[in-house]
Amino acid sequence: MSKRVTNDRSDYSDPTDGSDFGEVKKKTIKVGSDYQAKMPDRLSKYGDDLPYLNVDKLLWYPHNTTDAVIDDYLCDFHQIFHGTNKHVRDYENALFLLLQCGFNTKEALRRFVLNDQRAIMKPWSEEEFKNFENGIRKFNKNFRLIQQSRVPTRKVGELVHFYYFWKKTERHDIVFANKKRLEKKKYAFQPGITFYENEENSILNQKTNKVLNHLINSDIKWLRRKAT
Amino acid sequence: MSITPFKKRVCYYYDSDIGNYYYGQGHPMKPHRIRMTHNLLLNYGLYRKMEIYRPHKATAEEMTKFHSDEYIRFLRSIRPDNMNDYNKQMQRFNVGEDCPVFDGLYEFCQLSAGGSVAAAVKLNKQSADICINWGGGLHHAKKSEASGFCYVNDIVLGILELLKYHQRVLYIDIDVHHGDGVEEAFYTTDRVMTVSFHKYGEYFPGTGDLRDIGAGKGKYYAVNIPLRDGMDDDSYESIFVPIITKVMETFQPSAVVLQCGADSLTGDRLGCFNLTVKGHGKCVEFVKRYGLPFLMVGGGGYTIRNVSRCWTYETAVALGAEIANELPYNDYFEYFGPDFKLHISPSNMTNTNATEYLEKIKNRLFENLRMLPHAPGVQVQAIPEDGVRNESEDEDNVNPDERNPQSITDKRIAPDNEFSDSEDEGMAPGVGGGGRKDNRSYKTVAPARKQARLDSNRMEVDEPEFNILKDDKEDKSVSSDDSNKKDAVKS
Repeated sequence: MSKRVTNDRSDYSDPTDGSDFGEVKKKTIKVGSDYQAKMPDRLSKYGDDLPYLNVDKLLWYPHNTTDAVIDDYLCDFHQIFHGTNKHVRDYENALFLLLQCGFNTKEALRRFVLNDQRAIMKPWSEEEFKNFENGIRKFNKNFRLIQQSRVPTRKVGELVHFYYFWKKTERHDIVFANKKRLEKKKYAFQPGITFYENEENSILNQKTNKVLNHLINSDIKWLRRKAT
Repeated sequence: MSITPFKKRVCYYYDSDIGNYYYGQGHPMKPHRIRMTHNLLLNYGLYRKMEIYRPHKATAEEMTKFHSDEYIRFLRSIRPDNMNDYNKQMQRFNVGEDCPVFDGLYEFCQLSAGGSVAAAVKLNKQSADICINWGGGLHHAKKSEASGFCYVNDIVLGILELLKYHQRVLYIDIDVHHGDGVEEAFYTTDRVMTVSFHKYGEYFPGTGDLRDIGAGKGKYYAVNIPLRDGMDDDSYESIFVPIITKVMETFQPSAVVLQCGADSLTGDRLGCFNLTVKGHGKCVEFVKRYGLPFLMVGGGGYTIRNVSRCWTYETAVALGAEIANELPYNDYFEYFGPDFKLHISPSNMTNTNATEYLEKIKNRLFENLRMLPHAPGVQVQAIPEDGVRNESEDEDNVNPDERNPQSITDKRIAPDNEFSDSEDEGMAPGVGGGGRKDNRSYKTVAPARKQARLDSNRMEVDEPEFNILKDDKEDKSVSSDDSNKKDAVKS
């Protein structure tokens, strides 16, 4: 069925004709008060009533401080922070501090040295590291279970953050260089349709009706995982 | 004439926690891509060029401006550890496989929605020209239903906010999937036009037929561009530019929202188009040139290295800044191998969209757009004065590393000693709007006059019958119920 439609696409000529994809029931937009947004009655102005109560926190805005001054400042910051002077990027903390100090770079640096921000970032201990890897082995990427049973010293969010670094490290490669990873490599360079048509047609065909109801059913990786 | 700013004032919404939300093992939607984008922005030095906010968390009250109370209450209560008590509701609200229950689900929705609503308020106050929320763009979410990895429709909430200040808002969607949630929310209104470019046919979510054009007052205000596999940059531009040009002429919006779903890029894990980052970014560039208050949001995008490339580039486009193709060193550098470049090449996949097919769609849509009440009968109208003009060319050519002339900078920014106010800047009226920034420098008088003229034209249209089921082709007039609201339009 999916095959047939694929063939049809090339000589599909009249987009206004109603016969296309006749076998799949056409989905339509629903009309009624259960579906549409209630429109604001009229144009209005923000008076003293704010549209919401919680506050958006300003972290930075482009000030008339020159780029050169900011670069110098970030360089100093970087040196204190890393002890090196290689690639300097926009450091959010540094810029926020600069904003708080009214764009006075000297004051910002002074305050930075005063309460060194490095203390805030708790580095991962070897034990946490090992427990994390054990957790991944046991529970795969169920970070909640890993957090609960292996690394209770970290929040789930921290595990996720850490995971995205860890997965690109040699350490990950050594421990987890398995078939799965090789497969992944293989199709990373065959984007889009080539992949669908040549390798996975059968899986996709079986699931074709489900595709309209669930976006995730168009994910080959997901389907493959479910099949095994 | 008024003074034109050299640079657009771009405001960016980001919460550093957003990358920590995890949909689940094997799920293709990865909020981490937003953090990757953010990290690239920092390393390209684009961060410092923008006003940066950590957005507020949208409250249930804000979300129920669109969503049903029950649905939001459910989202607020459900957790991975109490899921079993909610089986019935999960089914009803379509939460489960596609839209799983994960840790911090509700907070994630709050941040995504908070960013888009805050951005809309910022635009309404005219204290930014362009607002960006890559954590938003969740266009499939329905009033009482999660769908396609989306739970809360931040776009609808943002547009509802814009509608407080704007008579007409244009929504454009370049995600590979149909923007069904947004289309549905505004299907029966003529104040929001939704324009979605998407793959159609045997594809999620299954809606977005060319013949779906809106209903009731909203008839002709939903525009769907159904496409086939393999759309490349040239084909995309050949349909995007004429359609958007015509839409701008006929609909004359005063604000635009662009959903920048990056699953229309080549090699996307779920997508089937063949766009490059440049081709995708061209859409942003084109819309930006109209100079209207502009909200950019994220959306789909499942090959995360390309998503972050794309949104980084589009942030640069919004800023009018040139950035090097060589990626700077960054926290996720290894993800961008083997080439470590910003731009990507198209694949050799076949483009199954024949030129004639695209031409046919285009003409059919043009016919529909002619049905709009104020469609120019004789001649194509000029592009709005604050739209495409040489100024934007100049602006884009300005070296981002060079300083603006002091005179300009002074006009835009208040004295140093006001910095302490800006903490509440997004909130307090008169602080953000009137204090630090000088609004006069970017709104010209001319477009306002044009607006008034246009509105008076609209009022001449007769009140048509309100009948959803009438044949499409017969019913040429579209209700202009809102013409009596025209008085309220600020000029």
